[in-house]
Amino acid sequence: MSRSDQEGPPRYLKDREEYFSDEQRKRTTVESRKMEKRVRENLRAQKDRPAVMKYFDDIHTYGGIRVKELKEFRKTGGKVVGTLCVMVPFELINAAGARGVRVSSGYYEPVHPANELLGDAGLCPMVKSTIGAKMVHSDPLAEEIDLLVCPATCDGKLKLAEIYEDWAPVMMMNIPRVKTGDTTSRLWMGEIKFLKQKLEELTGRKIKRKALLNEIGKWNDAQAAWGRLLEYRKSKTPPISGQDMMLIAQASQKDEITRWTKKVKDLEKELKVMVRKGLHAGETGAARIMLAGSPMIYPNFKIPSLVEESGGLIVSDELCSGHRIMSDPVMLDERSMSEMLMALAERYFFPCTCPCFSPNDDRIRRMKESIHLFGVEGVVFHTLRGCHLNNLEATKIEMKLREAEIPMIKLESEYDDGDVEQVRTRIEAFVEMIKTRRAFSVKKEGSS
Amino acid sequence: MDRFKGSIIRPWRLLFQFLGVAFLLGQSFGLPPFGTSPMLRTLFLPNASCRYVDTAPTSCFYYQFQDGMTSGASTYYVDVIVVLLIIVLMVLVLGRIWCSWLCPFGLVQEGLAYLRENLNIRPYRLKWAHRELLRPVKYVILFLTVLLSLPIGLSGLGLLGCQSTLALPFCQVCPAKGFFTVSEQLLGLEPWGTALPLLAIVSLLLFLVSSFFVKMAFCRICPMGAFMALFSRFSLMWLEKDVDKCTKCRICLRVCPVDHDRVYEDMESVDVAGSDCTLCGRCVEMCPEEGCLSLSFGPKRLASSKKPGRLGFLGMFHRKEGK
Amino acid sequence: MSEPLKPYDVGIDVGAISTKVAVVDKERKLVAHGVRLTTMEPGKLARSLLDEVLKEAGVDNGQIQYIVATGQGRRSVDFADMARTEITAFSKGAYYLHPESVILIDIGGQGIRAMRRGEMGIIEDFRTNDKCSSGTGSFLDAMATALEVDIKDAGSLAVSSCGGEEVCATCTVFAESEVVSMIAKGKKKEDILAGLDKMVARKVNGLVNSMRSKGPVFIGGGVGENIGVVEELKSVANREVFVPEHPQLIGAMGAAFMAPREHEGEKEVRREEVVVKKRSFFDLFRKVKR
Repeated sequence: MSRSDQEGPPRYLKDREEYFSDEQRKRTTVESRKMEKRVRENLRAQKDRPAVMKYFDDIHTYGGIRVKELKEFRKTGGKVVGTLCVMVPFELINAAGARGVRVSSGYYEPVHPANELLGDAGLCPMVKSTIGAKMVHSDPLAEEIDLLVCPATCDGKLKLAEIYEDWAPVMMMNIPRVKTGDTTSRLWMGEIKFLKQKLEELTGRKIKRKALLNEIGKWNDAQAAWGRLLEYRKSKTPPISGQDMMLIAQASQKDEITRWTKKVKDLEKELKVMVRKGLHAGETGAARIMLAGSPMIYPNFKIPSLVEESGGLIVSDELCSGHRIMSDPVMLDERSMSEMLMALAERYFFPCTCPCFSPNDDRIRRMKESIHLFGVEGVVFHTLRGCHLNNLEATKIEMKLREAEIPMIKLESEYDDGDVEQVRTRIEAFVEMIKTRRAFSVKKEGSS
Repeated sequence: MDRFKGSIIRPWRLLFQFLGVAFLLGQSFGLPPFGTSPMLRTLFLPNASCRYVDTAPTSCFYYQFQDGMTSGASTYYVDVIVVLLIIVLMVLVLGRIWCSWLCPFGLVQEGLAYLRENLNIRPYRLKWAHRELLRPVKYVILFLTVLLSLPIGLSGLGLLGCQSTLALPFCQVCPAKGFFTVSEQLLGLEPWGTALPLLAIVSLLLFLVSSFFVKMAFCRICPMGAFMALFSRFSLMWLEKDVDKCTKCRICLRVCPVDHDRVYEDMESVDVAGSDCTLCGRCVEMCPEEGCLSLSFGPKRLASSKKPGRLGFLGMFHRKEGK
Repeated sequence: MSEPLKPYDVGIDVGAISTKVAVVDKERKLVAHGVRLTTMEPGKLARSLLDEVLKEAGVDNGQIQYIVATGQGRRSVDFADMARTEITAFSKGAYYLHPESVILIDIGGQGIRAMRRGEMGIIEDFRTNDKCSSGTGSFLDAMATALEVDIKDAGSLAVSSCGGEEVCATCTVFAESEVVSMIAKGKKKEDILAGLDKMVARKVNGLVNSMRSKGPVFIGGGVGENIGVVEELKSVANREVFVPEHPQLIGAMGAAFMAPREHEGEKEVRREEVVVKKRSFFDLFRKVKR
């Protein structure tokens, strides 16, 4: 399915594929597989983990069942659409008869090929890893896509898509980065219509009104299931860890959504039993942590696993690899095609608090609301190196959170394991700080 | 279970509206089950019945308002003041709830929108700039009505001769007049050949066409609404917004039949109804955030937004925040 | 409680460069201490160092109630009762030694940590250096080696300088080459050292300023022993700078201080009750929230 036999836009890098030795390709693949396995085993070693979680592990497994399914699907003429962002409506992709997968990479090893060819450039490691994986064909999931849909959120992704063009057709979506005003809605609506047209061209069949309605219904069901799952995180002793929740959320962007919903419902039942038995994730009296900042794509679960290993428990997050995936259902007022598209467009755009938008006070407000709802005691703000947008917003958020007496720690990380111990020290200190604060506040309450 | 809805308000509202309109029309036509109660004869509700129905026991307050202004100079406008005071009192307590829970115009427009929706024709959405232009139009119509009906009743101004042409200025262009005169002639309640109010018929056609394509087109220019809007911001009926829970997803703005953007924009106030909201509760039932928007009577929440998929039976009387 | 029998607590700070042991009594007074360079086997080293210190001070092993480990190698101290991060330990130590100071700076062998202290010695915020170890003890050590000066004398030598040189590079490697070129130019050692100290002080001062507080500064860690850096910092920081008696031992002492307090009984975790917004009749007249 490569483009080599097609006429296409000029290629910059593809012809340099020989640049990479076979040995290097192999190493990248092997290392990626090893890393994924390590992370998966780490996840499985969590105490009192629900049994259903194994299914979500399998979805994410390197070259696992999902890849096989997609391969089969493509053999029968189906098309797979890759995305890089939460702002692409999966309902639309599914309604066109295609399958959507998010191909942002969390593997550490592919950063090196990208670095070798493009230079370091202070670029976000997620972008580098995604390109690198494509360059050396090390991510089996990314190999299966027929079209990459990439909203131009940050500079990294903008240019990432341009480079990606060498290997797969890319459709850029113009994200209006200023959210105010009526024109924003219209512009984004236009982009969604364009996406619809592109998808119809890709699959060669029209998106029917009924099909779209049906898909929206499916996704809304998924949202409702996810929403019920979130309720468990609000309890004093959440039965499920933050890593697992993130894994589930990300699985929704790879899996068939009906199957995913069913599994989430199964998980809910299991959690109910666990709660009755008094089982819970994390240690007793764990510090309730909220993750914020740059996305953490599986298997880049360095920070969350460190948090949960050092006596914290992630009870909420604000990541586009977590809660933001299932942020809001699509509420249909009327069911004509253009109205449904509008509902889709607005749902994927307006509630999104990606730092690439300019009046972004909503993010702070919604973080505060989550802090209130989930009983968060401290915020771990993670930025990938080179994620300027999150970096710049961190200070403002920190100031605002301090007003609300919620401590925040900002961590910058790269895609490698080198800084694990340093980061661990900081997270442990942060958790200790939260616990002393807690003891102190209890004491103050008691004395008064 | 409908997967697209949160709490339920619309069916209740439609039921209320149907029964109300049937009752009031039954009253004005003197149909047996409703009769013509003497009490209603002395009440002038916003647009309960039309003067141009022969058997009507009463009229809309706007008719009384125009009529009183023209003819009430000798009685110090007591009639007008009493009528308006009743309306003001009603608005102060219940807000513009009339508009979307009882008004026959509203019912007709909703029927047209329903028809359009089922024909799969998309609504024409006004641009923000056009909405802003349209906003003051209803007040202008209200003002013009006063400007025309007041002086022609004052003998000192010597305009009494204009009364035959300029009396009841709004009624001359009111779609209801067009509708009732035409329908009465068609039904044979009135003899054929009586002079047809051409202006009113044109506006009736405009009304039908525009509200077929634009949601609640007439409500945006309705002078009765304008009069109520003057006082509705002080009313006890609130459209309450819990700003902390808002995700700014814009659903409230998209589903609002009158494009009342304050629900979406305002991040300061508790009551976001303002003057333009007709309290139909559409945004409340569509808002996917638990308890973000609610219709409330003072501090008492009557209906709140709920997460879809978790709707209780009778969303309308749902009470908030158990824990 | 068997308190009279066990009047001592021990803090062990296994840093990146050196391992510190502090024995304190229940009045939080330092009884004995010892410092040694960290080896590849920090656990064994800590044990032997502790035994040595105890022997010197004439304290019996049975008189020790708690052993608390801290520092980067805290996990390898297997005989410790508990392990705490160096950040918490340092802030605790600094709080009991000088409660007035608000900003606590710990310049260790490979890391600089800045903390802001809130009520009751609880830190509100902290920052550490990321990947670069410029300005830390090992940086100064490398410079002293390049200048062929004993690190113990480096501070006093720098103070004796009349006017320091300007060192621009912050990277250890680049700074070393800059120092070498200065030596080649025939600059005085003390002037170069003064310049280096000034550079470190500027870096630390930047960290102090980033803590967003105007309060007095407490400086500890190995570099706190370097009088040159402290003097420079005093002149740059424009606020009160407090240096304790044994700057290097703050972490170990803080760890020891932490012992009794932590074992007074784990408090039951109680989350703050969620305040449900009460709506009163008077809300009627208050339509605007803020």
